[in-house]
Amino acid sequence: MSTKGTRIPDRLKITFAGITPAPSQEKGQDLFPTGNWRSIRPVYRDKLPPCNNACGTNEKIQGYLDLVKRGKYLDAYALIKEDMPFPSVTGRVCYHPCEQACNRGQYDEAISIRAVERFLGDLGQALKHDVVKHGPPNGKKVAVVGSGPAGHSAAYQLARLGYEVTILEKSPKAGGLNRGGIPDWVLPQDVLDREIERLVELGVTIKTNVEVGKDVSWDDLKENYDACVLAVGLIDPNSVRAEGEDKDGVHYGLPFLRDIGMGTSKVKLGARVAVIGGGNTAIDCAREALRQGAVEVTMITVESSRDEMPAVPEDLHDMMEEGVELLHGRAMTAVHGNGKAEALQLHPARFSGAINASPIAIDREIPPQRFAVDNVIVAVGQRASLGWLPDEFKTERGTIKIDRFGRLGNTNFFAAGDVVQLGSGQPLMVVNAVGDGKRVAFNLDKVLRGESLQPRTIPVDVIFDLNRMNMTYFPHFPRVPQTLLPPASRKRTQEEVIQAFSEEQAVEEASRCFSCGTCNACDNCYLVCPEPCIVRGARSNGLYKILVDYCKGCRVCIEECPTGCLEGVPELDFDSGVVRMDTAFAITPGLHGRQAEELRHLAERPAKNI
Amino acid sequence: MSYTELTVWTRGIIMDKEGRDIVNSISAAARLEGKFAQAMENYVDNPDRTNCPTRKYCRVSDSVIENELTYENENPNIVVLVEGTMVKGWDYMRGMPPGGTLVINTHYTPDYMIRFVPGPERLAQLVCVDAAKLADHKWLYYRLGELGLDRLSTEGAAERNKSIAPDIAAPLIAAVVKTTGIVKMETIEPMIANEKAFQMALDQLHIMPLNPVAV
Amino acid sequence: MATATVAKKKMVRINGCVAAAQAAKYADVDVITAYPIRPYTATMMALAQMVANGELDAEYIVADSEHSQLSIAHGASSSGARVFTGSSGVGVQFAYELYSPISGSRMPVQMMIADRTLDPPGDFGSEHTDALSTRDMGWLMGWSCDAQEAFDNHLMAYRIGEDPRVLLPQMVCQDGFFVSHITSDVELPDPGQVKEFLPPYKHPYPLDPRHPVSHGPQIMPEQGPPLQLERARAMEESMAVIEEVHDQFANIFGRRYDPWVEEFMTDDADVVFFMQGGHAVTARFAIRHMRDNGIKVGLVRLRTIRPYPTDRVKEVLSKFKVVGVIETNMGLGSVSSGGSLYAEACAALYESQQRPLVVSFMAGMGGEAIVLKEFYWMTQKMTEALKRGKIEKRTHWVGFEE
Repeated sequence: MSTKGTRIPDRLKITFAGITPAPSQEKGQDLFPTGNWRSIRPVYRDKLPPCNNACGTNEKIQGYLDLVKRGKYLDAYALIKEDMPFPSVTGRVCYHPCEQACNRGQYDEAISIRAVERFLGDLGQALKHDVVKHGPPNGKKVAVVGSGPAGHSAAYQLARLGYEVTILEKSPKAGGLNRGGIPDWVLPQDVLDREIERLVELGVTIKTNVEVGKDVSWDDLKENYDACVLAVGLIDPNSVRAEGEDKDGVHYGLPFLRDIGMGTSKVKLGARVAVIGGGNTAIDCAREALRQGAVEVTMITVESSRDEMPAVPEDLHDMMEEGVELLHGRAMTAVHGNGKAEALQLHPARFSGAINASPIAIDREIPPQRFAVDNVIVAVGQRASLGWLPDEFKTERGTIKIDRFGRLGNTNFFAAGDVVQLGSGQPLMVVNAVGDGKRVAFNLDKVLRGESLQPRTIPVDVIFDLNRMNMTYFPHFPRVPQTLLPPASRKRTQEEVIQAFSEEQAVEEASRCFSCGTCNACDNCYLVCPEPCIVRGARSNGLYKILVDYCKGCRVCIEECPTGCLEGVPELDFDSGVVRMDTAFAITPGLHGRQAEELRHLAERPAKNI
Repeated sequence: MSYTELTVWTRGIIMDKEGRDIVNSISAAARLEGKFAQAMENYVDNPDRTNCPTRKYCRVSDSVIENELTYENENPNIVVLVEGTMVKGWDYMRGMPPGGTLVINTHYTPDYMIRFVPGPERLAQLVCVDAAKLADHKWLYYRLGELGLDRLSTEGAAERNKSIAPDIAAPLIAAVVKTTGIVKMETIEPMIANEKAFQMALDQLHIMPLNPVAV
Repeated sequence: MATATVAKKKMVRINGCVAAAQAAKYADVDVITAYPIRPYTATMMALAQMVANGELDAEYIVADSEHSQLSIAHGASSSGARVFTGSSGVGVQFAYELYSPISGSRMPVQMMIADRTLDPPGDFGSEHTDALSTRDMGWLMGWSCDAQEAFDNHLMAYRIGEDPRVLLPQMVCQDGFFVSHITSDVELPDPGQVKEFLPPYKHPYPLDPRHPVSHGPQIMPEQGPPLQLERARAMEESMAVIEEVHDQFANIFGRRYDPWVEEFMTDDADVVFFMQGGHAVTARFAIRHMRDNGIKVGLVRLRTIRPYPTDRVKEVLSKFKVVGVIETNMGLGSVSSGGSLYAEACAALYESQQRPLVVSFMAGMGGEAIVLKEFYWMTQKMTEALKRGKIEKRTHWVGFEE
């Protein structure tokens, strides 16, 4: 017999008839690890979506849209609450820089993010208990002066960190500009009340009718609290320095709205009302005037066209729908009337330099225009009232002097909100104040714990180029519109003009989100990989692992990733991932012997469940 | 050197011709100098796959080559990696006797690349040459190496481009010949199509001397 | 009639596959049928390029399988075209149905076989089993050991197969990789020489509408024996033609090959290797070394296995005391429990007055190279058998025994 006495050496051992065990998801196939075919490696690198980046308080917008899409409303709400204490407020009032930045706007229409946030905020309000809790008490006390957006946000974050927070509010009701600057038909009182209630449920004490500088002094604050956040806002309205501005019937924008909001207004408007100013406050005043009984409302702006007006375009549009007239390129130089405003004197005017940031040049050569009115509301901005503040902390602009962390010198006083943002270039909006309050709260916490303050990190790789994503996977869908009350009827009521999304609408709108640059577990890479060497871990939010031993670097996953979060990095940049094979044809020594062993024990393995 | 083995590691289809050009030109030059030489491709590497590793072999000897009918170079004195990332992939150092040379096409320098070399004590020198840049090749590392001079995967049987080393093989051949002297520069230079890249490479090699062998 | 513009003979460095393609070109084949399977694919590609750039004027047909490939070859040859085809490994077996019809209908199709081990599993390395498994189907068959011989064998095969006295198809075989993919020096002849050597193909009864005939109609069993007898006669009578053609070849091209066996250092050899194919090249080196050390070993290389040169083999092998048949093929369950060549060698030696010991060696299986050390080991086994006066066993598995 020819085979008698023959012996196969170990290194040549083979399996029975060349049959090998089957490949598996975890190990691949243990034969020919082809990882060394590649010269670039796909890497999951989440970029910063432009919405998160543009938001004044960096809400994780892409994150909560993804959760809403998947029906996880409570998780989405909890995600917003990390950065934003009152989503049901911002869901109504925010000027949505996120929507301006939304990449979908370059493709068809931006996502209606504010409406989805409102949906989640209202859902949160309906919960018996809020999802956030007071942090474990650390025994330190902090005073927050002002209960507007900045103060509310700072108090909220500090309470979550474990501080004993007291808000000192000079008005009879808490809420700041939310209460007294935003009309009810944008933000109903009860919605705001509920948010303030939540703050109290969180353990924050709110003392109204307490004014710093009158009831409480600077030194009181220093002695009684471990730290203090000054979020006093810009209270005093600016004047246009017109002759006769002190007559009856002349009102100022923010006080006008504030008194209505607090319920203390005694203003009775006549039929004809003029509003001086081109900003958001002016618009709110004009629309509020209609609801307070005015018949003819005219807005008079120095800006020479609608485009120059610093107002939010949608609000301007809604105002025009309600019948407000616009008069451009004029300044009010005098108020005529017998003790009471009867007519305005208007001269042509323009900004001498940058729009809204330079002195107004009035052309007094031309004979003025006479404009009959019953009331005039002057809404040309506000300034701070800082009589109680030590002079060393006052700036020339009339704001509080802080370092880049919001701290007053080396004290434990911090300032946030409009009172420090005036003139900084940041629009004076609720969401920016919230962000400011949040950051200041964290800085304060670090200071009290003796940690050093770090400058804000520069945004890493914000993705705004559609070419970095794959648009093939996104069919065009129009934006889901929010219904508005009809203009004719709405200007007679305080009912909310803009209606809420239903659940279906919120999910539909959230589904349009590209998830720019951030993995949202769409499974595309997993499906297209030709190897296949992408393994799905826990399915929620994208835990994929690329089996580096097998990936050939074909780049299909990178090209087909709809969100653009997969990138190709040169393999030589990595020290790791050396797939060392003995020869090119890749059978590691002793492999067949191992496989023969494995095959022999195959019968002991339980059958696969298919 | 009385008997030298040279092994070239290259990637299938897209860089197959470059590997072949290196071994064919060196063996042809050796024969012109009156030596015995053999050039062949590795047979088992199944080369018809884009990006897969394939090997080409060359043997140069003063006396007749008796192990002609064997599949591989058991003891390569010179190893060339036509694509830099291959340094992480295989045991190309296997069987290399002391005093060997490793030539890699990469823009990284030898001090970076040495960390990926298994068993570097057998190397007398590590040479890095940025062949893609020298040949002015429009090849981005971030794509699949768009060389494609001969995309026919015919193991050379039906090559379109008849010239030797019109592209990145030219700087690599210059690197090998300059650092090892396996053949004379004057014999091999006339064969090379891409003269410019060949000349430029002679000055732009990064040579890292390692463990010289006492002769 | 060589014209002035025609190229002269030239020296090139090519591998066996390309040499086969060149031979087809010099033979000016009319039809090429192809189906890719490695290692034969290199020939297929080289021919495709030649046809594409006008070097060779031929019909190039890519079939949808080897079975179709040979079928088309059969048809083309029947119409009077000189046909060239080829395959490897399992591809050769896929076309099996056609081998008997092609030889039985006396169509001189030429098939280039670059050997490859049969499945399972996939293995490119060379084993001769692919062609050998068809050895009784009536094709002329022989192995080359280098590219030059491959080129020459292809030309000679056409001349022999198309000779009106023969009219049989031919398989010209070469080891995959060792001959097919390793380059060596080949002298390509002057085309004028080829014209002189190889007249145009002319079948006595081709399928021609102008002179209609029928090929392969149904027969009754009693017509079977005479048909088979004629086929056997053709195969036997081809032997004289083979010798004639080798002589002619030597006269025209200057290279003389023994048509049946080639002896190397056999003058006073006690033990010899008996083998075919490319491993003979390494065998020669091994034998030289062993001779330097005083071992009297030689090599007998079989060049033509069909028709089997029984008398010649008997005559040559009887000179030696031990014959080691190197089997690079599988004959599972065969007489020797090893390969197929042993039985044929023994049968050839049966009537010899001086029968040597015959032992067979399974070497180079799966395409593994046979290294010098293994030749030394085999020689040692043979010399031990010589001392003992008998073989240890009929078949040794080289590399798996002490």
